[in-house]
Order: sequence, then structure tokens, then C-alpha cells
Amino acid sequence: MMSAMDRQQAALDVLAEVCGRPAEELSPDQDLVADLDIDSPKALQLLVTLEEKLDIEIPDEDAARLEKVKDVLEYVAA
Amino acid sequence: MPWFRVDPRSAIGAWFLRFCGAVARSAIRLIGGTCRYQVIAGGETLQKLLQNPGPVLLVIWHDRAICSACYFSGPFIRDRLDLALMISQSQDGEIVSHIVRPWTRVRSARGSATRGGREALRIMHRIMAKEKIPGLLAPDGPHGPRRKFKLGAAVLAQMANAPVVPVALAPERSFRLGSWDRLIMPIPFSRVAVAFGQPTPVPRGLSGEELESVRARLETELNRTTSLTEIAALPNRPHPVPAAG
Repeated sequence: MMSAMDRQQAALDVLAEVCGRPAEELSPDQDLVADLDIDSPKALQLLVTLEEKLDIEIPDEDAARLEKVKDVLEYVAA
Repeated sequence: MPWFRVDPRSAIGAWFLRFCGAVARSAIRLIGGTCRYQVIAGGETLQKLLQNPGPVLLVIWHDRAICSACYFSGPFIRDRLDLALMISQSQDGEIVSHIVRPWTRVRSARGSATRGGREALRIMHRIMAKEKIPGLLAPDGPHGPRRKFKLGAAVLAQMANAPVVPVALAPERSFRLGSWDRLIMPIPFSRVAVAFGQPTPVPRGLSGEELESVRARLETELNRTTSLTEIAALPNRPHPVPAAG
């Protein structure tokens, strides 16, 4: 069972992989679309990879609320 | 841009779009039912698809949308294959959703008005990956550029672990509309050449450059498959065939 911190680190790695930047360059207040250029295809990559790596299911209503890096990190830690 | 625009939230607008959908569905039945289809390449891919569909992404160029509706709604395919369709949020998409509504084996993937493309891709992925239903979309839709294979289709196939199968149709007799895609309208009683291209997997873990390379290969393969049908249907016109990717 992964701890909340492990899950957040895994999510950060996924985010870094999807947006093609080092994880160290990501900050909680960055906007997924405006700052990290996460368009529709990248959003699909992000959500599916998060679901597979963390063995979770992200409903559409929850996915729609993920706007910033910190939203993703808080969501996977909850 | 469509030649007319109505408000789908108004009663009259909603009725009008339903009416357009019903008229278009009847036209597709009439035209599609009188055309004769000849599979000129990839017949084994079609057989495999009908026997054991699984997650696969069928792609057509947007100008073949009516031709493919005629073909896939015909009794030979319609009663044997479930399909997931990605439908845009535009007014044209609203009409398409009315066209396919009575076709019980067709599942529509339409996002909400605010999160359109992102949500539609998610719905499409869910239907393909979890329910193992083949998807069908036009990778240059909904608004072009014409014959540009967009990355979203390649990523959808990648995340659904679904090979991409190019599908092309070319009617012997047809005319084109003045829309951005120069939509092909087949004429009733035409012979229609149909081809299924090589299934191409899109592996996980590709870099941005590698994914772009796969996308370009898929574009070439869809152009090549389309050219094959045009040569078969219209042998006396020049049709440069792009080399296989």
C-alpha cells in the first residue's frame, strides 16, 4: 500500500512525463492547461496513466476539477 | 461553418436539428441501401473485426463521413458490429447524434459543452478500453485542417491499447460539397470501393518525437488506403499514391 506521499510523488512523475518537463520544474500553483500545455490528448494520457499507476478510478466530474498541479496532488493523496 | 445556425436549447431549434437528423438518416439509408460495396483491400481485417472486434480504432478522413455512414449502417455491418463514434459538440455534431440515435449498436462519445474534446476523448477511451468496443473517428475532424491526422487520435489508440486501422471508401459516382472537408456525397446506385489498411499499434512510453513519427505514419497510411479506393473507383483520374510509412 503506497503512502499519501508516495502517491503524490508518483503523480508528480506522471505529470512530468506527460508534459515533458523535469519534476523539479513543477510547482503546485501551475495551471495544467495554461502553464503546462496539457491539451485534450495529454489530459487523456495523464488521467489514464494516473489511474493505472495508482490503481484508482477518476470519475469525469473529479477529472473536470483538476485544474492545477496541486489539485492533482491533493486528489491522489485523498 | 454550417449554412444555417439554430439555438439547440430552444424548442424550435431542437426540433429542427432532430428533423435534419431524421432526413439525413433517411437519405443515408436510401443512398447506402442502393450502393454496391466492393472490398478491394484488407478483407481479412474486416473479417477479423466482425468475428472478434476488441479494442481497435478505425479512422476515416472526414470527407468520407457520409460514405462510411452508408457502409457501416448497412445490414451487413450494422447487425454484426458495435461501434463507438466520437461526435463533436458543433451543430453538425448535434445532427449526427440524431442520425445515429436509433442505431442501437452505435455508442456516441460526446463531451459536455464546456469540456467538449477532453471529455469526449475520455468517454471514447472508456468505451474502447473497458467495453472492448471498436471506435470510429475522423482524425482530421471536426474542423480540419483537411487530411491532417491529429495527435489526439494516435494518443487515444495508444492509451486504449488499440491498433489503428485506416478505412477508406470511394464511390464511383459522387459530388462534393463546399464544406472545409469537401464532403463526398455518393450518388445512389454507385459502386463503392472499400479498403481497410494495415492495423498499426501505437506503443506506450513513446517520446514526443516518436509519437509524432507514428502520427505521420498513420497519416501516410490513411492517405495510401484512400488512394487505393480512388484508383479502384475512378481508374481514369490521376491519383498519386503516397508511399507506405
